[in-house]
Amino acid sequence: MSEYAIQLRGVSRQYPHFQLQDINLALPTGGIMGLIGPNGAGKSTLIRIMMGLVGADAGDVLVLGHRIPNAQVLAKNDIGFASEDMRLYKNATLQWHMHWVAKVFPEQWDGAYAQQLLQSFDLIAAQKIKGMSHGQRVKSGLLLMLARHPRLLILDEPTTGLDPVARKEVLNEMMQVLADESRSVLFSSHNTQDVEHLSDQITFIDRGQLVSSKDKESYLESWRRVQVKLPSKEALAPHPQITEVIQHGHSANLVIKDYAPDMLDHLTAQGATIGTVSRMTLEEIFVAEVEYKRNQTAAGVNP
Amino acid sequence: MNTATNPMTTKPGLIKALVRKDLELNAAPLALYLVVGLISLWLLTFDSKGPFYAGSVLLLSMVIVASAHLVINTVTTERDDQTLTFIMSLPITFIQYTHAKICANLLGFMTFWLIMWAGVMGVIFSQAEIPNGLAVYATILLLEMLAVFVLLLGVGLISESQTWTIVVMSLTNIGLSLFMYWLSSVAAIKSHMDAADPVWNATAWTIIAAELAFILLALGLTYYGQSRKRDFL
Repeated sequence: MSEYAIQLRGVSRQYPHFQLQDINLALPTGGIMGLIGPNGAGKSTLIRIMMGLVGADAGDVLVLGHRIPNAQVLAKNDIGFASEDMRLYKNATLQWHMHWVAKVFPEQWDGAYAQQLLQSFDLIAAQKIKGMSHGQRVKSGLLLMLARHPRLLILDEPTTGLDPVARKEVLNEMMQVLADESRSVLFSSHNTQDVEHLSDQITFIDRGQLVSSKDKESYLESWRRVQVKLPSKEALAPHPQITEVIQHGHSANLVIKDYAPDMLDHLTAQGATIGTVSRMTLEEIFVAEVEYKRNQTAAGVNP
Repeated sequence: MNTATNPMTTKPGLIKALVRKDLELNAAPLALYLVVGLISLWLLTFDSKGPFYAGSVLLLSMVIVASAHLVINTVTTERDDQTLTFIMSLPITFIQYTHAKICANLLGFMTFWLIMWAGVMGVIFSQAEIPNGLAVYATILLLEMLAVFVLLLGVGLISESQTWTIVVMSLTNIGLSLFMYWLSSVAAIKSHMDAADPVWNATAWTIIAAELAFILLALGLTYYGQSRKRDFL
């Protein structure tokens, strides 16, 4: 078994109005990576390159040890893929789809697990896809994918458009699936709550560039929001770790990158009185990371 | 390397499963067109001109409708309905997908087409009022419709566009009338249409050979066009 489920080295793809630039990414086998980015960041393009559905201009793509796109058949045999824009055949029933996928994957299909998923997702096998709600269609797609026990799950915005109940059902099932430590998962979302809930590794992507890729705890530990009282209304002296300052008179809210307690000493040395020091949510960290990267790029600095 | 058969690059049985899927999902409308096609053949056996012309129009219409239905439903609608993403998530390359689509369409349409051709030949040779010489004209005409089907399939697969497929479909339907007019004005064909026996002369064979060559060329260009694509979704 390969050490990495996914390895991307220097992957680029140029479009007339968008470019994916020099993406380097590694998902260890058994890892769960959340790919976060705003709409149009390049998440879907990157995922499609991994699936062999879009060709890269440059770089190496290895999935489950197989080179993509040449060995995509071998790789996709062990990949379960679901995306927000994926649909099933509307005039066929879920049972027909289950029967068909079971024929395609006779050795991998687990009929008993499929029945269990039918119940936990509250789906009716005899129902035609066109009669299903969006949530039921998404759950049907996940059932077809999960019931063949793929080694790698690649999920592109799997919970987009789901109501809170369906989203919880999907996330609960995902949690159970993720209990299998040999299974690797990459999933993209702009819902940072889902990503924070499921992932152990997080990658931020923006405007076709990889902003950062670290384990979840590193992100949560390295960012802080600090409220301070300043001795005067003058602007605080710039510091490379202070990425955002919102100042109203003597009060200021600071966003601090690569936080360490000695950072507070730097602030007090300027006469500031430290108020609250709070951890940031993944969504706040994502926005801060992206803004920091954009500012650095605009200033011509390589962050 | 033959990507359609190499076990290292092909999941056994997947292409067959994809072909079976398309045939299963389109079995009901194809059966309906077949029933209407058989009714049109029955109308051709009537002595009076009215039912004969009605049967001819109905027969040609069913061949056109079956051809359009298959290409639109199995190729362009699959993309528009986003079921292509589901299929391409399976262990398959785009060329194998193309191969499965061509096999499913040819199998589905050729079955219908062969039944209609055999039926037309049966009517021509069994009905005393219909000259057997018409068999050559009917065969060339039906082959033209088969060639148009292969062209539409290629356009659908390569353009991935319902709009372009419908544009080409409309043009080829206009072309069918022109083809019928042209064919019936070719002296070597026209002069034998009322003959007691079919005359398979050099002109007839040349046109048939050109039609078959067109079919092969269209298939070859479809595979070539698909093999040059880098993005499939």
